[in-house]
Amino acid sequence: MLGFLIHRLWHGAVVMLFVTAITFFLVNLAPGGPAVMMRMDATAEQRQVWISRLNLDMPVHLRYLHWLKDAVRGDLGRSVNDNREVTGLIAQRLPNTMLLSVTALAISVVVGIPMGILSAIRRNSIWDYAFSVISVAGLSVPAFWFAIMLILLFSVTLNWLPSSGVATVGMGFSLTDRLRHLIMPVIVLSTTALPFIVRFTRSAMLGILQEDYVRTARAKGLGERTVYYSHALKNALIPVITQIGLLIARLVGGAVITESVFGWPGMGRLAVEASHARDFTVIMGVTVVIAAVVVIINILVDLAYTWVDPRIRYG
Amino acid sequence: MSSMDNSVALTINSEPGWHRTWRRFASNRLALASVIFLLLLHALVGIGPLLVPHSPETTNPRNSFMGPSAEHWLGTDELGRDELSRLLHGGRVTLAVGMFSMVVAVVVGTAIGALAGYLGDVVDTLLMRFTDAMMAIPAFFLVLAAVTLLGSSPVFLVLIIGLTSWMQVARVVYGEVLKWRDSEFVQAARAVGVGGTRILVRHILPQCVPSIIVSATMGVAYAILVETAISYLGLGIQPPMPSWGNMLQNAQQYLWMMPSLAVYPGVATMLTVLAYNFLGDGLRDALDPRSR
Repeated sequence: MLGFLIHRLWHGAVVMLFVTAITFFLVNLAPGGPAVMMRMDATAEQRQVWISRLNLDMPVHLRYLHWLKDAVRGDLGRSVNDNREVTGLIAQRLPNTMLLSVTALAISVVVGIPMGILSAIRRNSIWDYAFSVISVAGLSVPAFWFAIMLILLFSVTLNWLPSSGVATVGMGFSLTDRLRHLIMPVIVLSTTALPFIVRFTRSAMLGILQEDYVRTARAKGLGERTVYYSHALKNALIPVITQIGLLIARLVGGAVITESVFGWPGMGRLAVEASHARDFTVIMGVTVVIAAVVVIINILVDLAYTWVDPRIRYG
Repeated sequence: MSSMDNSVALTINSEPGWHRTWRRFASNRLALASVIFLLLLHALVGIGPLLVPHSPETTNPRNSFMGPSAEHWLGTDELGRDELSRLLHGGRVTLAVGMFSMVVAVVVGTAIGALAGYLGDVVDTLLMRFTDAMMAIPAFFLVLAAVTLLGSSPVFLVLIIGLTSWMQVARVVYGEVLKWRDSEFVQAARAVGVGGTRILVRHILPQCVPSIIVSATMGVAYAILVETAISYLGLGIQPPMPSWGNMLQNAQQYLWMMPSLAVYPGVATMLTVLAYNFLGDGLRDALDPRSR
C-alpha cells in the first residue's frame, strides 16, 4: 500500500512537472509574452523593475527553474496588472469553485449512478432509451447556452431565481439565499458530468452482468434483486470510481463557462478576467493550481480504488 | 475437418465488411437521421450565404431588434444586422473551426499514440506521461491561456483547439497499436523484412482507422463546443466576423428585450453537436458491435 502511494505521488509529481513546463513555456515563449507586455511608455526605471521582477534578463530555462523554486514554496508571483499576490487571489476564488464543482459532482453521482443501473438492468427498455438520449443531449448542449436558457426561464420569465452572483448584494448571510444562487450554476455544471457517469455505470454494469459468477448466482436461485445489488453492483462501481477521477478535469473546465455566465467569483472567472486583462502571471498561477487540484484528487481516487478493490494492491 | 467447414466459412465471409458495417449503421435511425441533417446543414451554410441578400456585417441601427419579416426572415440583432445572414455565415465559421481543429487533433493524436505504442520504452514513457499531463490540465484553462497570448484568429483558434484536444485520439491509437504490434500478420511482415515505418503505416495504422473515425466524429462535436464557448466569452472569433459563439455574447445582455437572439445560434449549435455525437455513437456501434 505504501509502495503504491509512493508510486502514485511520484507519478503525480512528474505530471505536475510537465504541466508547469507546458504552461510556463507557452506563456514565456508566445509572441505576446511578458517582454511585449511591457508598456511602451514605461520609464527606464520601470523597465528595470519589470525585468528584475520577472527575471527577464535570464535565459528562459533558468527563469523556469526560478519560477518552479518559488512555486514549490507557495509563491506564484504577483499580478502584472495590480501587483496583488497570485496565491492570495486564488485563495479567495478556489473555495467558490470547489463548492460549485463538488456539489455538481455529488449530484451527478447520486442521480447518474441509479440512471446507469436502471439502463443496464432494463436494457433496451424505454428507460434505457430515454436516459441515453438525455445523456447525449447533456453532452451536446453548449453549457453557456443552457445557462442562458435557464436564466431566460427562471429569472426573466418566472422570476424565481437570481441570475448571478453567490449571494444577494447588501444582504447578510442567509442559507436560503445562498442555495437559491447555487441552484442554476449547479444544474448547468452537472450536465457536463452526469452523461458520463450514466454511460460508465451502464456499460460497467452490462459488462458485469455477463460474468460467470453472476450466472452462478442466478443458477443457484438467488432473486434478481440480490444478484443486481449485492453481487453485480459492487464490482460494477469499481471502474466508475476511476472514471469519476478523470471527470474532475472536465468538471473544472466546465466551471469556467458556468462561472462566467452566472457571475460566480471562482477560479474560472478569475482565469477569464485575467485573460481579458492579459495578466499572464495570474493565468499561469490559476492553470497550475487547477491542474494540481485535479492531480491530487486523482491520487485520492486511485487510493480509494485500491481500498475498494484489493486486487490492485498486489497487482 | 473437411472442405465443408471451409465452404461455410467462405459463404459467411462473402459479405464484405463495409457492407455489414453499413447495414448495422443504417439500422440506427438516429445516426442515419444525423447524417442527413449534417449533410443538409453543411450544404446550407455552404450555399446559403450566397443566397441571402443581406451582409452579416452591415449595421443599421434604425432597424435594430426587428421581429421576423419578409425582408429579414429571422429579424435583426442589436445593431440591425440580418440575423439569418449572421446565422449562416457564423455557421460557416463555427463548422470550419470545428472540422479543422478535429483534423489537427487527429493528426497529432495519431502520431503521438502510434509512436508511443510502436517504439515503446523511453519514447512510450515520455509521450504517454506528456499525454497524461495534458489530460490533467483542464483543457479550457489552457485554451484561455493560449488565446490570450497567441491571439484568436480562426487559424490560431484551430491550432489551439486541436493542440489541446488530441489526447483522447492518442490514447485510443496507443491502445490499438499495442494490441496489433505483436500480432501474427505484423510478425509475418517483419519476418519477410518489411521496415518499421512501413509496418506501422501500412499494416498497423489501418487497423486503427475505425477507432480514429469514431474519435474524430466526437472530436468535431467537442471542438464546436469549445469554439462557441471561447467566442461567447469574447476571447475567440472576434466581431464583426460572426460565429455561433460570439453571436451569443451580446444576446445575454438583451435577453429581456429579445430572447430569440439567444435562441437561434444556441439551437443551431446544439443540434449540430447532437448530430455529430449521435453519428459517432452510431459509427462506434456499427464498427464495434461489442460496445453496445
